[in-house]
Amino acid sequence: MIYGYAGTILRINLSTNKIVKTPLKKELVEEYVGGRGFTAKILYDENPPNVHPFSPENIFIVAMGPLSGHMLPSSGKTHFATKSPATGGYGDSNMGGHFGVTMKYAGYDVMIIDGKAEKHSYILINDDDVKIVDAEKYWGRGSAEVEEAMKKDLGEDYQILTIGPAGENLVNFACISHDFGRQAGRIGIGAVLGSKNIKAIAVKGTKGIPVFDPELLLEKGKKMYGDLRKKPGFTGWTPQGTAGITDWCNNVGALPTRNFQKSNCDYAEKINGEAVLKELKITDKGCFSCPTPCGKYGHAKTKIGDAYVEGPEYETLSLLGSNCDISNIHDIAYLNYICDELGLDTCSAGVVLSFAFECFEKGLLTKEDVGMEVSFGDFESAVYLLRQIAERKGIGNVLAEGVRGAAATIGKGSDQFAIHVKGLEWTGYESRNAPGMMLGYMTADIGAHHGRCWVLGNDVAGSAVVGNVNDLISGEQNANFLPKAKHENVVPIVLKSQHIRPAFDIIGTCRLQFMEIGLETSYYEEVFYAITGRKFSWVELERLSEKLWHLNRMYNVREIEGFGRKFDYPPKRFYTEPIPDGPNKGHFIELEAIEEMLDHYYDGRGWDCNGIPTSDTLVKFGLNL
Amino acid sequence: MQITIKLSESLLSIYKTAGIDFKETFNIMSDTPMTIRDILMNAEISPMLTPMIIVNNKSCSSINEVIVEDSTITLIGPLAGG
Repeated sequence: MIYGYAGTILRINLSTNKIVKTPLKKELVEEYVGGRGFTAKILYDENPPNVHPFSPENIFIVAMGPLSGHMLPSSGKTHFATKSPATGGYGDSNMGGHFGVTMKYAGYDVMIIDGKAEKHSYILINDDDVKIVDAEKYWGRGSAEVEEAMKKDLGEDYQILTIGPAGENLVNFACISHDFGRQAGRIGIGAVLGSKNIKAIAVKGTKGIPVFDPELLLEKGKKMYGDLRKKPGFTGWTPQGTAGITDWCNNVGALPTRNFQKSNCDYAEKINGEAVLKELKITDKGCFSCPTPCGKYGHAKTKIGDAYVEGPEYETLSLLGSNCDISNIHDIAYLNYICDELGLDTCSAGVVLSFAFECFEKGLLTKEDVGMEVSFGDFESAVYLLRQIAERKGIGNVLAEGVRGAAATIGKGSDQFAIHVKGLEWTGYESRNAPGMMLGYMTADIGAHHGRCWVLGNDVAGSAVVGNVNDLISGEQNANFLPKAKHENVVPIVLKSQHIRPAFDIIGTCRLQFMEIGLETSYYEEVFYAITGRKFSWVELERLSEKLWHLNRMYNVREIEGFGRKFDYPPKRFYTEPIPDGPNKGHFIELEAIEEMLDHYYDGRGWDCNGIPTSDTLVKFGLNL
Repeated sequence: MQITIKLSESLLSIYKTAGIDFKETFNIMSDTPMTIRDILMNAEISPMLTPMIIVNNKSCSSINEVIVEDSTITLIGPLAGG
């Protein structure tokens, strides 16, 4: 028995229908702890080298952390990993909700799926009973529609993951959906399940998880909840959730607008957190054991139909909103709903749409290519294209490859404004005057994702704190003009953020309570001991998180031909085109500065000048690769 | 009047990284009404780093809002979206 863990790895081979359960090894637990630690190690060790992401041999991993499933704030996170269809390298996703916890209650810390089912199927887990079941009646249907149908068929006790038509059709940015509004997104993880002919995974779990000191856990867990409520950030955060950041991003020139051509818009008040509350919200919606529900479940009403949807969160507001120049909050929420039903990651979908709009605007795509005229600001264009993408029809088949693939097909210089790193689309923060944020996006192991690093506040503070705020502010909180941010000293802040943010993906809790509200790390150390009996300090956790950067980097070196420095460059737009207006007018980060930041970053990481971990670094972190 | 100012972790950590240590909670006193902008300037906190401001448990819509009585102002710093 290993305290804190269910104790078993579930292996499912869909080609042979073989189901094998193996004990979770103490060595894996001690060295890699859980969640993202497990997925990184297992993917490196077990995934066949150079496997295609859609090959049956590409493994799909689900893993929980030792803190998952216990009575402490927000301990319901589930981690997924596979070889990414978007980048061809290491890919992972982290999702809230209830699925992973239930899988742990069924007795499994890790599930590894390989092979391909002969027919359209779903995986059914009821404690020890694991089956592969025919899913023909669900295939082709929307994610939430299928989840609802399966709950009716199987019972409400089941927690369910589904893919939509986008996953079935192997769209590079297809996601997995759960609990009517939670997603495992980014890297195309839904498409990997689709390539295995798996429509859904349903799990019911009734077992317990052994705890080292249950009374101590109860005491510490209660204290976490109580102290969290006293934090200044607690009351501020919940009402609007992440949508509350929209105005600020607009005010400091970080709101992507029209495919990142611009950095702010003149209608932010129509698509901000207040707009979500006034126009859409019915109720807050939270994950397992969460006291700070960030989900906003609401009702969108548009000229083409109504929808009930969880969201939009900030990323969706920015990328399907201002980035597509769509200024109606109901329309944005409806696009969120369409993406959820089709099983498309809303971040990548927003950037792919805006790329298509810009191509059309510039004449690189025509009405004949697309099937209709499309444009920025046109809600119906967006709906049309999303459906085409999910079905891989017409232009949708090109756009389904993501902006990197689409630009390669369209050519004509469209790579200039294909906004991605390593093949993964950028998320909702214009960073041409935010060098720390820029570097974080450039160097993230899975491609451009703010989940790995978020230092935009520090970038802005470089102007706001050091400069004279009275020179920068007039009227409301709008900055007239922000001076050019310095890039020289961003590396330490970026490295720190890159170690801390994903650390929570190892232990299995949400990071919001720490990052945004300020629950101290000592709480996590205390509950970790109460659950596992192991004294594991936050410093050790950050050290493990740092180790995974090297491991995942080496996975990319192995799997992506020619991988190295050139894969860390930002989109060309960001180092060649100044921002045309707004508080960051005239700013961009020159290539020379990009190169300097990379040099300092690689130095800080212990990588060579091509961005490859040195043998000394690998030895230092106990990586015998 | 006494104005109690509370800073969220996201704001505290940004200032800490910039070498400025604020307390999580502190008070300022004033004989006359003050706008939120004035209060922030008095406390040497940049409005650019306070995307959300809560006054007595209610969202504040403008930093030109005038505070006329004992109040608690909670400043939420920039935070990542989802």
